[in-house]
Amino acid sequence: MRIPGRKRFGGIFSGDTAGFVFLFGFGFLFTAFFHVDAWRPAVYGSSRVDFPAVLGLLTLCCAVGWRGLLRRGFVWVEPAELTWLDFAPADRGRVVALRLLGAWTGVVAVTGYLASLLLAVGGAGLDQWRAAVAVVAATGVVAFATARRTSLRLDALGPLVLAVLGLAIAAFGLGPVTVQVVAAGVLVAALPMAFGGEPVARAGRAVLLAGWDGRVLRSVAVTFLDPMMLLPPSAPIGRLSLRRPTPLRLAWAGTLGRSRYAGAAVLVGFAVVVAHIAVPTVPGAVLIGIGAYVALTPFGGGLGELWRNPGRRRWLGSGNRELVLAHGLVLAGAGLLWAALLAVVTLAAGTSFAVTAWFAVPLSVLSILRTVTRGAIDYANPAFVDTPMGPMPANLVRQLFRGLDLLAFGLVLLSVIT
Amino acid sequence: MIDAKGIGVRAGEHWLFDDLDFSVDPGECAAIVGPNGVGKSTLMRCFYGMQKPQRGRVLVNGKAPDERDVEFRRAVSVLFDDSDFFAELTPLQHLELLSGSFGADLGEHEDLLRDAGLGERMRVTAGHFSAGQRRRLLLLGVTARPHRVLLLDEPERALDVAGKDWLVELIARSTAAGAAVVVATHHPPLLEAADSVLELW
Repeated sequence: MRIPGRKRFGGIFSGDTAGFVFLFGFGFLFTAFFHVDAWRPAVYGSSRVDFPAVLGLLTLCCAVGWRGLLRRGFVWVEPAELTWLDFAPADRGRVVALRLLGAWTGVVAVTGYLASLLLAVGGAGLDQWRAAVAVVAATGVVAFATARRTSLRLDALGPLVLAVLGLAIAAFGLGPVTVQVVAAGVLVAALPMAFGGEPVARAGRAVLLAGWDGRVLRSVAVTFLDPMMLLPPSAPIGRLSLRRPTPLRLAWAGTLGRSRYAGAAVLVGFAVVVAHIAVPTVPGAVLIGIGAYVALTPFGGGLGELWRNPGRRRWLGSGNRELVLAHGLVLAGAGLLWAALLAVVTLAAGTSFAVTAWFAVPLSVLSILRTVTRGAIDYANPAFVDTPMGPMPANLVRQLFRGLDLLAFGLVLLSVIT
Repeated sequence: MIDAKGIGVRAGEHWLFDDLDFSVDPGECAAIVGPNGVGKSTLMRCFYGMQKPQRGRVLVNGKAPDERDVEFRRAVSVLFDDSDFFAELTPLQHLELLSGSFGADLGEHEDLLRDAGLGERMRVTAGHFSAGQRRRLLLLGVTARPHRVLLLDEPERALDVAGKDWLVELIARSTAAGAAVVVATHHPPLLEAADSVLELW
């Protein structure tokens, strides 16, 4: 049932801004296929395209997409619909099932697009295309089979195993036939993984409302250009003592409470190494820097919460410098662990990064500290500047990119030095 | 301890209050009363340095209030609308935060929690608490930590009858320890316990 006044298809065909953005984005993304010769040196350089690495990278992208779908952000129903639509023909279960279908289509479309672009630009043969289709299709099936039901304890392992397979494909230079066998294995694994749990379409009111809250938070964060709202909250950390040195223990507790992001950090580490092999034109420092920033940012959430929430901050009599130092120390420890993992994976994959590229890890730690210690956004003076794309709120953008500015500057510097 | 002379705050074209003199000495409790929207919370924010009055001057603990200053925050304890707790921590861990970061001996943490009516929940994460239990935890937090000034904005909210009695006791303990207490309230027993009452209208 359609609620009067609501736009159909997310407003894409309303003739409004959303429609323009969709058409512009669609056109921009597909223009690349008409200029593959121009893109080839930019993506792969002058060297021969390492197709096993490209297929490995694609497998990793599929693993990331699968993991994203397992977060089940599509399981939500608006409270007003839960309140008013009990007698409407559209059951809430059907609404959630349609949203699952939409989210899954999105993941398959993105991975499919990436596969097509990477292979078309590389000038791949039919075998590589078959292997890529097999990987995308098999991951699509296993992602759907697992995301359609409630979460199980070992679910998070699935994308990690797929990432390891992607790394193995790249490291051992496995051919397209072997990749198809791997894809068949993934397809077989989907069968037992599909069982257990309950269909998410049967989720109860509490779960649907929690999903709705998450969605509201995400849309507010995007609307108000404030991604720091999305810093993940900490899970309970048991009976860990917070006695002196309290700031250091609180920082440690915050990191432990976000340890659920360790799997994602490992996934990112794998992706950095495989991307280094598959796309040699991107400087190693850039890959490590962006990877470290993405992998470690969730662990900066504890400090970010103290900065954003004066009510929490008042529980602590410590000064700002002491808090930043304590959280920085723990974050640096996490960065060191991530760098160690990256070093092991790099060695295992038979590749290497320049010594200077490793400085991107401490640079990312500093950038994250700078990002999460941003004050509340000041919307009073957006300072619009004319650009070829239209007016840009320069003052808002400056605040939005706090932390990322340091990362970008440092990475350019490191890339030049390397 | 709190000394405000001739302060005025404007909301748009309208003056919420103007030319207001207000003072509270150590060991005293002052209550602020008045209907919704009259400026009680605004006045409290002025005392904490979150809002600057357009007119007059305020001194809290001998200096201009500035909540960005850690020394000021250490002296002035507040319960405002934006007060919060760590949903992932237990009440015991909250008290450890206070004692560890303020460098103060709060006494036996378990006794404090039993006194606050949270004895049964001292090892349960605060995210699972009811509204009243959350309020008790926040009140315990602002009164157990060292403070020379205590600012409470409608502290009685969400408390049951026993909780409101406990609140009156808490304020009495704070004033007995030499703190200057300001409480914006609609709770009559708090008015009776106050040394002075400021009525805004």
